Amino acid sequence: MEVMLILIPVTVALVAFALWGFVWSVKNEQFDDLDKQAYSILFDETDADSEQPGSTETPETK
Amino acid sequence: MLDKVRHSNCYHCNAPNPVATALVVDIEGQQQTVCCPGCLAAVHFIQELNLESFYRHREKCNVDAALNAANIIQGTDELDIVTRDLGNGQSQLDLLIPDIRCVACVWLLEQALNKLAGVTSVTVNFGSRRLQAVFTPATSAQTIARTIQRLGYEVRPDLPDAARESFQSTRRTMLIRLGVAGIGMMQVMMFAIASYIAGPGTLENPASGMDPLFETLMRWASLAITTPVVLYSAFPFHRGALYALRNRNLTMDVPVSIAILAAWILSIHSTITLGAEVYFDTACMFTFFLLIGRYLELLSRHHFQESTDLLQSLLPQMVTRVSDNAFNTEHRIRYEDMRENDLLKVQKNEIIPADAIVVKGSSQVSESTFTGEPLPLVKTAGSRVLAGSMNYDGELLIRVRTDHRDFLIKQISRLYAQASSYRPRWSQLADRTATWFVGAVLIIAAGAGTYWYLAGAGNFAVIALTVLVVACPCALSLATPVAYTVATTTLRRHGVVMKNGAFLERAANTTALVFDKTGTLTAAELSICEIVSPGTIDEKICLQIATTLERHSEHPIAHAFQAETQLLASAVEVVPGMGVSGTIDGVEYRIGQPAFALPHQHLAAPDHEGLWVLLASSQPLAWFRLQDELREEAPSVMKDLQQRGFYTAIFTGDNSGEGKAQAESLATDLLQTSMSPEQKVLAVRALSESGQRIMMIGDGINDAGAMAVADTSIAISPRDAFVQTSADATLLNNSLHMIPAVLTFARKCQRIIRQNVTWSIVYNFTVIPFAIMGLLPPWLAALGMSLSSVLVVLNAGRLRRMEV
Repeated sequence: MEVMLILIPVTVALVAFALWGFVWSVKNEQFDDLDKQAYSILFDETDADSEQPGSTETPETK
Repeated sequence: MLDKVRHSNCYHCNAPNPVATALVVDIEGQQQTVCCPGCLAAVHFIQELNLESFYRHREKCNVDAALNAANIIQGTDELDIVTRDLGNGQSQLDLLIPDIRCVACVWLLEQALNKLAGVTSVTVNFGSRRLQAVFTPATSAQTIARTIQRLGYEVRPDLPDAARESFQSTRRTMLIRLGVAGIGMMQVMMFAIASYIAGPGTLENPASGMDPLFETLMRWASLAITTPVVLYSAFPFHRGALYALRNRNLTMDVPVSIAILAAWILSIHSTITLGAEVYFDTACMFTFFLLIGRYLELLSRHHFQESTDLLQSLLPQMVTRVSDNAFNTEHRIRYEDMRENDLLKVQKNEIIPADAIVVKGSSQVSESTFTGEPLPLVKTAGSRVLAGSMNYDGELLIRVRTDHRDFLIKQISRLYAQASSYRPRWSQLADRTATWFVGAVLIIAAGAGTYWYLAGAGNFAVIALTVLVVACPCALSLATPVAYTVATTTLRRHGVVMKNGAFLERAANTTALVFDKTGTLTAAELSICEIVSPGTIDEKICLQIATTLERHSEHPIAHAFQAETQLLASAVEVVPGMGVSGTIDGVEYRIGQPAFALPHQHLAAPDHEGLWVLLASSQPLAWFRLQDELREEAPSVMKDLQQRGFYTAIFTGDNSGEGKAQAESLATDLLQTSMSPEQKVLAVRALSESGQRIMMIGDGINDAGAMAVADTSIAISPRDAFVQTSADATLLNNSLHMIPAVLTFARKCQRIIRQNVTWSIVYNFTVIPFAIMGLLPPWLAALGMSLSSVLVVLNAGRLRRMEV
C-alpha cells in the first residue's frame, strides 16, 4: 500500500495539470465558438494548419 | 458541354442566372454557370487556393461578389481604426463579416487567409460572425480585406463595443471559475468517498479502516485542491458579501460566503489537529453548483442581447437614397443621415435598412428575426417592411416611416430591458424582506451553534455550518427572475413584443377577451363587395380605370382594386387621405372620397352604410363599396377560446349590416356595434366592474383608450403598422392563433414561477429543522441546497418552449 504515498501527490499534480489545461484553453478562446469545431471534421483536405494558429508556413499565393 | 450544367442559379452566389450572358466555369470536373464576372472571379480565386470543397459543404450562403464590390471599405481610415499593434511587430485586424451564414464560410475564410504570406493566425467566430487576423508587416490590413472581398464577402470594420467585450470577458472568467470548482470538486469527492467507505479503524482492529497516514495525506491533498476553489472560484460570493456588509446590508452572498469560508476553515483546523472530519467536499460542491446557477443565469440574460446586437450591427452603414423629384437621382448616404420620409432603394439580397412602407417593387422578405416565421413574405407596394429583415429576390423602393432611433429593432432591445427586469409585486416584497430573511438565517445558524455548544456537543460549529448552508434562500432568489428572463426571450422569438413585464403576470389571470373587429378579427385587407354605376360606362371598364389609377397609391384601399388592365395613366397625382387623379386616353379621371372625385358636387353615397369610393370624370362613373373579410383563423380561434371558458366580446365601431353579420357569425357572448372609442372605454370599464379580468385585443390605434382601461392588452399589428405603444404587447406575425398561445404561455409561466417559489420555500423549511437537530451531514446540505437552485433554473428553462 506504500504506493499510495506516491499516488496521492500524483493525483494533486494531475488535477493541477488539468486545471492548467482548462484555463489555457479558455484563454485561447477555445470555448468561444462551439459551433464551428463540430463541423471541422468534414473539411478534410488542408485542415491541419487551420487548427494550429501560428503554424502557417504554407507558401504564399500571389 | 453546356448540357452538363446543373444549376440554373449562379454556382457561387445562388442568384438566378441571366439567360443571355451565362458564364461557364469548370470546377471539380463539372461545368457550372455563374451569373456575373464578379462571381466568376471569386470562383477562380477559390480554385486558385484549392478550396473548392467549400461548395460541397456550404449550406445556404449567398455571397454576392458583384453587390459587395459596391460596399468595399472606402480608404484605409476605416481599417486603421480596427487594426491594433500587438507590440511584437505584429498587428491584429478585427473585422465583421455579415455574410457568414454557415460553417463552410468560416472554413473558407480561415483557409484563404492562412495561405496569405504574412498572416500569422486567423480566427473566425461563427456565432458572432467576427474575424480576427494577426499579421506581420509582410502583408497589410488592406490586402487581407481585399482577399476577403475577392472571395465574395462583404467586409465591415468590427468597431469595439464595450458591452460585448465586457460580456465576453465576464463569461470567460466565469467559465474558468466554474472549471476550477468543477475539476477541484471531482478530485476532492474522490478522496472523500474513499474515506467514507473505508471509515476509521475500530479499536479492536485498527487495520480495518484506512491507514491514518493515508487519511492525513488525503486531507492535505484535498486542502491543496480546495484552496483555489474557495479563494478563486468563490471569489464573487466573497466580494458580494463584503460589499453588502460595507453598505450595512444583508444579501444572499453573505451566508453563502460565510458557509464556504467556514467549511474551509473548519476543515483546515481539522486537518492540522487531526480532527474527526473534514468538509472540503462540501465547500467545493457548494461553490460549484452555485456557480452553475450563476453561469446559466448569465447566459440566458445575454443570449438575447447578443442576437439583437448582432442584428443591429448588420444594418448597413450606407444606404441608397432616391431623391423625390422626377429625375430619381440616387445618392449613397450615411445610415445616420437617413431621415423620416426618405425614399430608399433596396437591392436584392440586401438587409432592409429601415422601418418603411414599400412604394414600388415586389420582393420576398424574410422577417424571421421578428416573427420566428421562417418563410419569406411577399411585400408589394403598401406593405410595411422592418429594418433588419432580409430582402431576397426583388428590388424595392421604400419610404422611411420613422426616425432611425425608433425602428422596431431598436425599440425591441429597449422594451426587452424593461420587461425582463420586471419583478412581480410579491417578488419585490420578497426582495425587500430578503434582508430580514438572511438575517434570520444567520441568527438561526448562530443560535443552533450556541445551543449545541452549551449542550456540550463537539461538533457545534459543523451544525451551525449545516444550518447556514441549508437555510440559504438561493433558489428562492432565482425563482422569479430566471423565469421572466427566459419567458421574455421566448415570446420575442415568437413575434410577441412585450412593453411591460406585468403583462405575463396579469395575462395569466385573464377571464374575458374583448376584441375590436376591424383590423383585428378582419384581415384589414379590403375587397370590393358592390359596384353601383349610373350606367354611363360599363362597370368592367370603370374597374380597369380605377385599378390603373390606384396602382400609384400606397393606401390599403388601393389593394382592393385588382382588375386586369392594359390602360396607362399619365399625370398621376396622389393626394394623401383623399384619392388619386390621372389622365387616361386624354380624359382626366379622379377616384377617392366623393369630395375629392367631384369637388363641386355634393354627392351622397348610394347607401350610408359602409365605405364608398367614387370614380368620376366630369360626372360620376361608378361607386365602389369596400369591405374587409374576416380572418381565416378567426372562427376557429374564437371557438377554441370559448371552449376554454373565456368570456368573449366584440366591441366594434362598424355600423354596417355585413359587419354585424360577420361579428355574429363568431357567436361571442357579447356583441356591441356602432361604438365610439369613448363608448368602448365605458363598456370595458363596466365589464371590468362586473368582476372580469379583461384582455383587450385590437389594432392599438382607435382603441387605445379601451386598451388602457383593460387589465392587459395586445395589439395585432396589421399589415401597415409598427409596434403599438398603447398596448402591453404587440403581435408581429399578424395571426390570431397567437392569442390562445400567449394565454397558455402566460399560465405556464405563472405555474412554473409558483412551482419554483413553492419548491424553494418548502425545501428550506423542511430541511432546517433536521439541520438544527444535527441530523444532516454538511455535504448533504450542500448538495441539496445547490441542486435545488439548479432545479429552479432548469425548471425555468422549460419556458424556452411555447406551444403555438
